[in-house]
Amino acid sequence: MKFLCIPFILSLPLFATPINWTEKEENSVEKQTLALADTLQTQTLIIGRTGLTTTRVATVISKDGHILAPFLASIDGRKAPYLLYKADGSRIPLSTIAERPKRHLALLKLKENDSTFTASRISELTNHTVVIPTCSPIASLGEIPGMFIDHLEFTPPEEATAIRLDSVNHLPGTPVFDLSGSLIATTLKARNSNIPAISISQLLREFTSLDEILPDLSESSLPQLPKAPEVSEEEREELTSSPITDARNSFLQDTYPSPLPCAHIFNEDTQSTHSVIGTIVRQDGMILTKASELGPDLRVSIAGEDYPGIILATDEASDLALVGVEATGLPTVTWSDAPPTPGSILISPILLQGTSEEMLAEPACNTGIFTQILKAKTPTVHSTSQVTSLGITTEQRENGLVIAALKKDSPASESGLSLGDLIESIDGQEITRRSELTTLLDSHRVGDKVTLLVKNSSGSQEIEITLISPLLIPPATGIQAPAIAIVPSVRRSPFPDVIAHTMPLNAWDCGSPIFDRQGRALGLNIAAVSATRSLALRPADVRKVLEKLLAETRAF
Amino acid sequence: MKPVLFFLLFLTSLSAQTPQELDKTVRRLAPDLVASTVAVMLQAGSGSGVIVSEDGLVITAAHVTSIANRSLTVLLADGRELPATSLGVDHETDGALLQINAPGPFPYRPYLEGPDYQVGEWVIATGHPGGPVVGRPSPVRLGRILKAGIAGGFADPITTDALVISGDSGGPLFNLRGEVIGINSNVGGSWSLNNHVPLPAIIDRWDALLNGESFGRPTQMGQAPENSLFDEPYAELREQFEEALKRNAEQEDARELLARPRLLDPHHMQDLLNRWEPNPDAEKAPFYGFTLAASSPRVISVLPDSPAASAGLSKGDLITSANNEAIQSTISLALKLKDGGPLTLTTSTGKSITLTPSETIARAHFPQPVAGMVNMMVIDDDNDAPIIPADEFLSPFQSIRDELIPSVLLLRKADGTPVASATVIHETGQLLTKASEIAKVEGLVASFEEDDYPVEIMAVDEDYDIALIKISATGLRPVKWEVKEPKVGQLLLTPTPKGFVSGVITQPARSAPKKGYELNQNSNEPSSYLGITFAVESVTPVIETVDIGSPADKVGLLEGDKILKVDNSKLDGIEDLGQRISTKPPGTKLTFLIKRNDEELTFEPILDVRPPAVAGVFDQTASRRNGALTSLSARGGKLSKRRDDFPYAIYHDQVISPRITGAPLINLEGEVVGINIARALRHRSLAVPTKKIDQIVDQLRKKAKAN
Repeated sequence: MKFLCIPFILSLPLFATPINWTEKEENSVEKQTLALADTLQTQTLIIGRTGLTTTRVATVISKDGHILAPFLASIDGRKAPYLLYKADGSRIPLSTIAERPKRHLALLKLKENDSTFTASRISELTNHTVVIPTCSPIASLGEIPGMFIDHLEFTPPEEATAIRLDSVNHLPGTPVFDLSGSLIATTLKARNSNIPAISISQLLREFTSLDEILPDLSESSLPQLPKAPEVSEEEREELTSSPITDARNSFLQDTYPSPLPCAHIFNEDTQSTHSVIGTIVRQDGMILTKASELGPDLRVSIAGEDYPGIILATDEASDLALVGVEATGLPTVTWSDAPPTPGSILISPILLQGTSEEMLAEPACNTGIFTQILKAKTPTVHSTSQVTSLGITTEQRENGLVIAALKKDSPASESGLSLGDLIESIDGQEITRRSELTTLLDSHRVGDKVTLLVKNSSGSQEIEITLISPLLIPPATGIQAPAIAIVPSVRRSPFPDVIAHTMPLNAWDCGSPIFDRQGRALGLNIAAVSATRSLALRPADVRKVLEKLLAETRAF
Repeated sequence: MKPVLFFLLFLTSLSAQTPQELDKTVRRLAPDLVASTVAVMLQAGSGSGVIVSEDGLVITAAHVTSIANRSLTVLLADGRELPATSLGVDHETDGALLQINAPGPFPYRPYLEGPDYQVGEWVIATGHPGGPVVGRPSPVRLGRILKAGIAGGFADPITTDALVISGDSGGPLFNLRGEVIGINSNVGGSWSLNNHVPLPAIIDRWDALLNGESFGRPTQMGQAPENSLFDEPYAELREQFEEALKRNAEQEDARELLARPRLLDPHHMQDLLNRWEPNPDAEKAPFYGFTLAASSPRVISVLPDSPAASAGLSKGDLITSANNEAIQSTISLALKLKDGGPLTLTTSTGKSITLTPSETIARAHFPQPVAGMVNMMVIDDDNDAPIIPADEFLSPFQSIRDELIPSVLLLRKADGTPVASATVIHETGQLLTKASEIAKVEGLVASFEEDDYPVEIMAVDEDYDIALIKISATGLRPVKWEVKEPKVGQLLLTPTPKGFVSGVITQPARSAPKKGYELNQNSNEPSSYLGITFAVESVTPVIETVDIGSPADKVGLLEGDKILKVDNSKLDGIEDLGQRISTKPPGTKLTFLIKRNDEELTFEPILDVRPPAVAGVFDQTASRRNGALTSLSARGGKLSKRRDDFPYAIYHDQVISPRITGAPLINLEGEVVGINIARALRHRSLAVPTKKIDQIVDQLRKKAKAN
């Protein structure tokens, strides 16, 4: 099935000498990620393609503005332009130099030099921990690429042109950096429980047009860390997870507070028996969790003990619910108010392998990196989460917005608008930029009629269009659901200001606390968005909501 | 559903078969019926189907394929996964056709063209309940026609007591000649309401369906939506809400919402919908009409015109007891309020108030759709399902039942309520029963010849959930054992206090995995298999390993061979080769030109079916899928509390009550082939086979001695 949860396979202890991952190792990784949070911002960008709703991450690889991007299949085979976004949502003009679908890559070039970007250094393959930049599948305005830490399954043999990554969380064509911030590889298609990534130097040989770009190949310096094991070919086939990931997870797991201030909440209604995690906030049985995952009948399991649970109150804006159980002396969460720094490492207990009912007795571990605080009400780069939609996709040209795609079966597609039409004004208001269009659309509601003045070769004409809800339009053609996926939360927006991080969560992992290594909670996971993007509420916001929920219950 | 208008009980030549004849027929037919049954794999789920022509025409259900001309995958009984295209769909009858796009011949079954079936006739249903499971052939289920509908749809289906469930949708219903007479379509909560599309209804539109025509609108109840990362799971609710919002524009909260951007939470939308346009059929919850402080049971507000307001509850009241039970916290009071019913509350000021709740619409639940099976449509039970009494058919076995009286006892609580059954294994009073059913029962007794004997638990086998118990009765007779494992399709009986229940073995015996550990067929893996791998880091296609016994191995491809050409065209890297293999169906011959030690050689391997992946890993999706099957199953009657996680079990389709687990499963000669251990799911009961019982009893006796 395509949408089963990520297949985590229990690994066999293949190696005689266990890898030692300690405080020291974790500190050196975090030191690098904190530094990279800044430097990667000038080297990686969010990229999309006209007509597609999906967004990915691209890398600047030369001083002349060459961009290495994942190949995105364009709609209807037309040569639609790639779109590069700055943090403010503005688009940077690009030309396509070459596309290599088999390697899942495209080589692009900025039309004008932009001094805000620096070219990534390119290095040979490493046998160390790597960092992979990621973004939301539909990025928000102001969103910057986050980072995901991954480990090699084994040291690549001499002369090797590829490495094998442990996770399955990345789409092909994603850049891979070493811990010093050098670009070393890009990912290929996921295999069973791993992803191969081909070295950049190999790509430079294959991808002849790369020869001209003179990449920065200066030496990089890496911290002292456990190296991926050297294994024989037979062992390689048996290997299902990286021994480094296992060692690191087991180290991080030991940093959980004990007893764990978490509850496993099961829905017991007839629809389904799916479950979610809760964070215990008071010793007398008060638990916070994700409201939209809850049905009418709850069973709550804490440290192997089962209790009937009841929803005492819910808060719509934050999607938090206060669930009560008749218990006392429960372990409670300790919040930390130190704001996380971009690049800092986050840890959460999750519902995973080998355990079901007794999951929280031996919680699995998941890690991610704090990326940024996403402001509430920031529109997405594409129109999909605007409040209303015209049913068109536009492209910014010098003289204004040009219609690049029309949604199938929408009022716009039947209105007489055609691809290539230039929008001059809407309801008499001149529109030349996307931000103006977004502001205008946000001031309307679904069902309103607006009048567009458009210009094409046959002259200007006025066309009336009924606004539709963007959420009701099927995704633009050309989207391929990622072959590897998590089960996302039903409710993924809107939220107040939230912590965006790169921990892969499934819908049922929400409601869990995010810990730092001292076992203090830095946030509460509230939405699973994609394989490398999740959202969490900040402690201060959680406490404010909790106060409100404690003051008055729902009506019984 | 309309009540059944005519219901005639014909006992004709087919239904008048003796049990021995029936046993022989089902056993003989089973392998062929299973071979023709396929799983229809969709992106977000799977249904079933039956091959009806040598070249791969498949009949299935319309709510499985949903739309004409879509490409999907069909999983054959032999493990092949082949591409297929849906042909026409008829949502009015729920019949549909699809075509396998691969060269045949395929194992197929003939189908009936006219309504040549009748009430009382024996039938066999197959399909893939819960989605195809690795290593499990389609389970065979036996039943009788209870209503011989012709037109199809919800109004006139063939109704049987052959137990089908989600995932079986689209699977066939056969008569005892092995002809397809119906297609599994929907079920009622009741276990005897299994509805099938009558074949004549599909024959009626046969040519149109072959041409890919569609009839009617797809039902909302069927398939889970195609689950894309970008789809909104509750888009339907949002659409409904937006429409209701416009209709209720004069309402205050609607006016406020219309004036602002709105991306509401699903529960918020549901609440508003409930308020504006209450659905009388929605699930209800009790409503008293007041709010509390969470930290102490103090009333914060009383809603106007609510039961609480009219009973005189007021703001600030501190509640100290409910129905004479002391209330310590808001949580304990809230749990009482949730249970509903009249409640007498006492406040700290000594006020006593009795509240009778009114109703509100219960909280809805919006989980992600469960991937992995097409949901079986469930119709409302409106009338009692017609039931054909088994008495007459099983009357030849009355003497066997009588002989079993001193061998199978009923275990009861002190108050006489039956708890479980027990099978006598030694005349000194040793019996076997289901351990978990008797675990916490006080004053447990065994009834024999109008006397009650106290039960002593000697030892328990946790793995199989079997307890060895002892009573001090005389005149008990140990059962006769049959060590041979029963065959698929074999007719078996379980003695009950009243007589017998009958059913067949549905699938070969195997372990009964714990919830969440049943390994479903992974449709995502490419199905064609050559058996070679390349170094991860290589770009040139040099073979790194060759699997032993694989097609590559059979023709003599070796490690180190460099592949130059496939089917006379050059390769563009390893991924190109992977592409070429995965797009060809198993059975295709490929021509490889390879280079070995400066010599160019040609090989012609024939692609095989990829062997299933193996795992023993908890899968939350499988667990949720199991949860969905369980809740549908539980609507028809009681399931055993412990119903999975047995190391080895016989699977059968008898509708046994949890109260008769512990009773023996016997063949038509009266010999015991196993001990019933669980009513597991709608379509599944489990028994521990005799050969395992032997080992278990040995160990239990040793344990008992040690104690």
